[in-house]
Amino acid sequence: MAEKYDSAVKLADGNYWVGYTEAESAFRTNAYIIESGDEVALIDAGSIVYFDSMFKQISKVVDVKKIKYFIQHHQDPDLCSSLPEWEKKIGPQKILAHTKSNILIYHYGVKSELVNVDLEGWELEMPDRKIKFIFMPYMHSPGEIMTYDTKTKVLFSGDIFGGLSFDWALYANEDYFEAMDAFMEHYMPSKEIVNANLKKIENLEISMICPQHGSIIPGDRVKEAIENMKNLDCGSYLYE
Amino acid sequence: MNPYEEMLKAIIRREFALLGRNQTREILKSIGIELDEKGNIVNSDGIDGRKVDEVLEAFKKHVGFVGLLVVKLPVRRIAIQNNVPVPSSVM
Repeated sequence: MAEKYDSAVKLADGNYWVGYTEAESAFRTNAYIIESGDEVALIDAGSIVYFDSMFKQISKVVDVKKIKYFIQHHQDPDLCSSLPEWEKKIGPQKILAHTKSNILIYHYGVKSELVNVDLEGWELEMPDRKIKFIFMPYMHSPGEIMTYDTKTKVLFSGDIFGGLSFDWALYANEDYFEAMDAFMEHYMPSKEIVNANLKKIENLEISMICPQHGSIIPGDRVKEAIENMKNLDCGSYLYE
Repeated sequence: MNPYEEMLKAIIRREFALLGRNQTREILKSIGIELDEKGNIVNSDGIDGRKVDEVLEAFKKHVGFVGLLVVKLPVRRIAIQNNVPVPSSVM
């Protein structure tokens, strides 16, 4: 049975999981927030389908008017289609994404300022912490990024390290890497691309990995998760 | 281990992750396959391509398109690696 949560879950200082659990699906989406002083960054704003649930969830833990930034790891509808709904509630803010993603995010009809993190030094200064963006091209989108909170060492990984499971749990259970393979095999383009990009995080101090789908990988399983993905046959391999 | 048993083990590992351990056990039990506490197949005699097909069909009713898509892949990989006929439902 999948776990159910009625409210946000605190993960670390200023970091919260704010996903929803009412959908009976193997393809679940997570969202997260970083609260820093009087600013909030919403990471992967979510699908329009579940906007009402997520809005309630987030409203329980922060004042939504403090949301200044929407950090979007890529442009897909499961993480971007709610952006116009957010704008109706709190007005246009700043959407932070890679140039290649923002080109497409524009087509959701958003009014917010599109900030291209690749042209802004790959960083965001928040009141009590620095947020870094890590470029992971073609995993699976050309402008794919990850978000790293330098204060809590939490890595928000977007689709990367995501998993599929009807038996969802907030924190990865003993079978999670198999659930991760089930998703990554299809959404990651090739072992060569995956391995080239993973080098960027291999030496990073990571307290946990928070993917947009599936379960959170705690710090003591991060190395194993990276090794697992390095060895995964994926993408183009499937059609050889 | 014969390659079809290896395929079945791959299916079980994947279904443990997708559906959870309890439901996977129940579905397998309904078609005569028992697992021990660690998830190993108790009676592996007679596991062949037809049995793999039967197992995939049983899971198909529960996991739908997404589940079947992700289960088929490791099965197909094992079949290719071992150069054995791929069960029809994996084609």
